[in-house]
Amino acid sequence: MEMRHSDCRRYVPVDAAKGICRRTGGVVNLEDLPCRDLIFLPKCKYCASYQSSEREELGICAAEADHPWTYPELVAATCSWFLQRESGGKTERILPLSSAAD
Amino acid sequence: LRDLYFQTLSSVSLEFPYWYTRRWQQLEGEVPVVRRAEALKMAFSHLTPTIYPGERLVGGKTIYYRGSFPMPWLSEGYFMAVQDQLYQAALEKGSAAADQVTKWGSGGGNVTENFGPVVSIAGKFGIPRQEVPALLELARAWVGKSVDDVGHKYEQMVPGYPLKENLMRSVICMFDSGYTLPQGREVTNYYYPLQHGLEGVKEIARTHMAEVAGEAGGDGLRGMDRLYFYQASILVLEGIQSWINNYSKEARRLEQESEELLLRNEYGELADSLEWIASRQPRTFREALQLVFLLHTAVLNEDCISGLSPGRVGQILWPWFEQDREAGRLGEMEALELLELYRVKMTCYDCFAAMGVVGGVLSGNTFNHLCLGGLAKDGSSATNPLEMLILEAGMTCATPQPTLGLLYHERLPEDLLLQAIECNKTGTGYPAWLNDEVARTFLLSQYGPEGMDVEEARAWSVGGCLETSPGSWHELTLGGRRYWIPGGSGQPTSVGVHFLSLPKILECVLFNGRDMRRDVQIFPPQDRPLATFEELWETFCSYFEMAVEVLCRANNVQHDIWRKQNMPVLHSLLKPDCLETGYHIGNLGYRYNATYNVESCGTANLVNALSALKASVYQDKSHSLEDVRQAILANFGFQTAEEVGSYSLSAQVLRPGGEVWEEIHHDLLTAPKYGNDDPRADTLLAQWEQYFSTVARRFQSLYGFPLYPCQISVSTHGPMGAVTLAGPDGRLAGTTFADGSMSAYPGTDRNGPYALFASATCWDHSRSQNSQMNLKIHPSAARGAQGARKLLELTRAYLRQGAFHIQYNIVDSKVLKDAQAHPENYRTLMVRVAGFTQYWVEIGKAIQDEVIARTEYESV
Repeated sequence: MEMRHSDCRRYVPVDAAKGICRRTGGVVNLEDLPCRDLIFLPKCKYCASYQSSEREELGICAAEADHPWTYPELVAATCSWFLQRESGGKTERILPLSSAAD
Repeated sequence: LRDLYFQTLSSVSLEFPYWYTRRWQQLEGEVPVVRRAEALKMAFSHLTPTIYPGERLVGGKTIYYRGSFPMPWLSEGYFMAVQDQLYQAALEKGSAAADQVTKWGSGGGNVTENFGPVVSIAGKFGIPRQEVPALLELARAWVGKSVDDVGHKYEQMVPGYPLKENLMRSVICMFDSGYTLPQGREVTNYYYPLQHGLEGVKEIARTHMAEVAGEAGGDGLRGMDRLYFYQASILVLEGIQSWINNYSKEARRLEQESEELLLRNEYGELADSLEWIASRQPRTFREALQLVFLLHTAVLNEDCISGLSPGRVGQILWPWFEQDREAGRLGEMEALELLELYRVKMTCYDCFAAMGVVGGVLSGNTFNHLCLGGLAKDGSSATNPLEMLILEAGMTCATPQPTLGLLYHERLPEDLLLQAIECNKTGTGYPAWLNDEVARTFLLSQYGPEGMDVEEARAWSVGGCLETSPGSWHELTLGGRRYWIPGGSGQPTSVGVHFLSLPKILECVLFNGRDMRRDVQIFPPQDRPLATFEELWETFCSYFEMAVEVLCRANNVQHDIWRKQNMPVLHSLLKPDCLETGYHIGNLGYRYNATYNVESCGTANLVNALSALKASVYQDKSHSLEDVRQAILANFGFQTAEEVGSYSLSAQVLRPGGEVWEEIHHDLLTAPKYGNDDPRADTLLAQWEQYFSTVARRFQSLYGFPLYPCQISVSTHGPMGAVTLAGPDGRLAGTTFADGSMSAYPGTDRNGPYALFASATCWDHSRSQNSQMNLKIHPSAARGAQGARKLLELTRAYLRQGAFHIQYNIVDSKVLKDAQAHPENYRTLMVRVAGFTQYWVEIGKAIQDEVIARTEYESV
């Protein structure tokens, strides 16, 4: 899965096209490739509960019983169900900001 | 941070609507107000907090700097109508936009076309390409269930409904009321959280909940609803607390991640204050300002609102400012910086509504009106040193929001008045000057039946751009001292019957009820010869009342569905007396509910047209009515504004052979016109105002209260002019009407400002919610101390004659013409359009042309 600036925790989203990189302080484009110092930003597409569907742009959230639809780019920094999916099969729990669902 | 705003595009985030819809769909069968609160709580607690480098005041509607989002539960029709176009745009990477580039201001932060990773929505908002499918999925979830769809089903049962559809298509009325911007043009209220802290407010709700659970309280209709409202209040407050806590956690994360000591301290300070105000009464001016900004943002996220005004912030936050200053906790420069940051954050607000609403009438503005001056509870002058700083921040950090208004009365100190004039002279267009006494007289007549007394009338402030809105006093205790602070306590205004185009209704009178532009019969044919001026006037009145009747009833249905499905919970509990009574806004929980009104547009053009017809056709009989009709259809021999590509009178081009209409055009143009202290025209204004203020009150809102006149134009005078043929006043087809309601039509006020003032005050302004006078003054006329003094005397002269409002564009037309030709050089230029200040580059061309064409007074 190709990473972009908007997949990095240091990317401060200004608008739909660009943001600020906290490391360099400069304005960067959302779709440009990030540097090696990328810090992982929780998003649905990286969550263990995310199941892609036949439609590439939408998916399913298996964290809740009724399996609501979701979309891959949805930021999950405040989602307490988020569990990062690891490529080696082991899932690692990144504590998100919020205890939203508690 | 203001420069960052200039680089920022207006952007759509789906976080809030996604989580709201997801939770709503899980709660089928739940009590509506609780189901709504659960969905709001889930949405608030899942918003991603973004803290921008250098910010000391944080928070926003979305993850973006200038972000907003659609509320498909209010209306999803637009997305369904353009879904194929949006899908296509999402697939085509970097292709040009749909064929018609919007008529939006083509510059500034508006995303008028698709580009690279961004798709343009409604010609204004950008959304990342990959999120378009999710946007359409959200819209589909609400088809047949939104307030728009359900309201539409029942509004069609109103007798004469086809007339309403025609009024909208002919732009005789501009936009529906119940689902577009159902709240706003009102003053919010921060008192309860400022006094008790959010945890304290929850405690009040819990206490009341126990008292009312299972009790009808003598009200068999609403009594039992109180339990559910209190439960809903607790849920929403939990969501807001979670949202604020997410910001404090993000600040804490940045504190730990920052290497620089200064940054660590700033983020640490931020985290501490956010953790505190997430539950308790603010301790400092900075914490109080942060809390009121977050509450304001939260209310804007709960519903589709334009014109949510903070009220008299300088008097509301005075307790913290005074005590901080005395304790040496707050320097004047730090306070000024915080007020500047507050201006930038408020300017970052965007209101997502359909283009016809945001583009057509609002010019993208959000109308957060902060007022200064006015009277205290005991009738003394209410101003204080913090208000001087607020004016200063309006100059050192000029931005469109919040716009400023000065509630003028004779006991305001001279230094505040001269500071306000200096602010006007910077060309920002604010503060507007408002007559405190005229407003209070109006308020007492309109809200007296709901219990308003003289003392309470003093607590008023301005809703959106110019809507006089009722307020109330609350006693706030801080540091062992007591203060009476004002806050809003009325329902939204500028709802009920939106903008009615008076010149277009007169056009229908001349053509027997027909819209000749669309060639459609709008009103039933009267088949009257209009042989006398009285007959012409009677026909106009009958058509006007038909329009108000059907629009009022249809919008009452829409608002009724809105209050049943989409009632505000947060904005109910914030305003008196919902928290005490347990009744939300839809159950008449607010203290004042008689707030719905009838809006007009094109007053000056109507008066000038009636005056020209009276003189030329009915008195000296130099032309017949049929002559006038033919001249109108021929546009007096001129090309149309569309053909010329300019909407202002001065730029129009005569067709070859158009000279045949020159004589009739000359006679109609030179007939007596409004704005020259000429009774032949001014008595017609008085006749219209007397009629309007009487007939509006014959109609009733869904809450059972009488409507009343609201006389502003916002920017409807552009699009409404664009669909109106030439007029008997000599105005040409497609050109923009006069703005506001008391502003003269450009070029017709020839006897100077004092003659214009005499014309404008020939009627009682307290019979209407407002009146609007925009004056354009050349900078040279107000130069230096003497110029400032003259401008102050000019302002006083008008207000002392009983006028309600005046505001100034102090700008050189040559600069505006250059800015129209080279927008790239004028990104920060602002002008006063109607009751609001907007960036020049973000205004549509029709309004730009009209501001340029306004009469420019070289001396005052």
